[in-house]
Amino acid sequence: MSTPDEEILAGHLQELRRGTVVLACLATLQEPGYGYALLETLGRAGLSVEANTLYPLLRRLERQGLLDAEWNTEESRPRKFYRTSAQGGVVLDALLRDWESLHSAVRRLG
Amino acid sequence: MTTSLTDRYVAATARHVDEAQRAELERELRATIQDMVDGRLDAGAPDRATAEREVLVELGDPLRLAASYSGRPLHLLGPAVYPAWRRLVTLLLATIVPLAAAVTMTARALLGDDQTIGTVVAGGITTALMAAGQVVFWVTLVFVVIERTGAAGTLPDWDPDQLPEPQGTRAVTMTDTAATIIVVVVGVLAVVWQQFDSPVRRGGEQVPVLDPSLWSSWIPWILGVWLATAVFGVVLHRTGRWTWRLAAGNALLEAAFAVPVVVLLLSHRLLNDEFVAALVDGGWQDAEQHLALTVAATVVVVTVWGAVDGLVKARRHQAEQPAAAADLRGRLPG
Repeated sequence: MSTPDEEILAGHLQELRRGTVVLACLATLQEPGYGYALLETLGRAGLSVEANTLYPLLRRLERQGLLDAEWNTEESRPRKFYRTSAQGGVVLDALLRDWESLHSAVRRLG
Repeated sequence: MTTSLTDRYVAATARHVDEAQRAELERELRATIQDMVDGRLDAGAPDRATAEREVLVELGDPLRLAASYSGRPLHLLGPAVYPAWRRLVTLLLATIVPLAAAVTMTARALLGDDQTIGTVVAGGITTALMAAGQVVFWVTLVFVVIERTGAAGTLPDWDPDQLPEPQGTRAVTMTDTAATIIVVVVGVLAVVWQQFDSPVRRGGEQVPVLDPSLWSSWIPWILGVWLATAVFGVVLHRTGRWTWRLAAGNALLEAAFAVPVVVLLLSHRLLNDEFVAALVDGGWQDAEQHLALTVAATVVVVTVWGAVDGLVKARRHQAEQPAAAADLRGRLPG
């Protein structure tokens, strides 16, 4: 067996991870957090996301009503804090259920 | 100077998002960049300027970032509209370009005083290139607007009826298609020719056969119908067989030509008065009456035959495919 082409593998891994970023954001932001902190948290958890992917994603989830956002101006640097909304929680549950059923389905396949 | 790169980056990004989002985006992006710069410094970047530069490189092209923030496409034509764009461009290139070249070449050959074969052909090639450029440009522009306005949903869905028949089993042959296009080209040329180089003379002057005032009314309509007929011929050829929809389109095109022509003939508005007078001078007293009746009758016969022919062929095709027929009967009246 030859090893697969690095680029091909990287491409498939990226495809596989794409949807999980939303899942990770909604799960992590059940505790309020701001963009950069979330980037760090995800990175430490082994889910490294590009900054220029994460920030627009947060905005999109906010527009869709899945995240609530609020400016915190108490600290020296004003930051926008995001938090998973009630609707976001419902979506998170649905995504998690699907994630688990996909996982077991793939496992059963082989 | 350390803030100026960030300022420029934030401004460059904000410029590409909606007014409503701009202030918010600027504020958030600025805070984000500062956080990221601090993070780099904590991780051992040598100085603020280096860290700032690295962060901006990581965030990437402002246009790309802005598009990603506002959910705008980063392409001119996306996958939603590309197939329809490609089909339309191919169709128009296959019809309008040769037609435009043929018209130019004939007009030059007939009208130009000192034209050689070389200049006629060169004129045809130039026109073909310009027509191709125009077709691609305008069709693309329309599709870019469709893409940007989110009107892609209004494009007709792909339908299995659009599948071309494999070569060899075609019910519509290349000869049929070529005949249609040739008839159209000859028709267009005849209309141009009778205006600019009429064979009929009266008092030494060449007189056009058709009433010249029609150039600002019905002649463009007729030329348009013919152009549509040529396009129809190509669509029919690509489909390879007569469907009910194509037969209906054919009948509509036939009617769009025949109805105005017959009405104009019978109300004596089609032919040029000078032309009729020339015939009367030549001894044909009832020229207008005779011509109107015979031409109108011919047009009616040819049109009805053409329309019915399409319907008969569609019906025959349906009869050959009982399964498809059963499906169609449910959808179509009669």
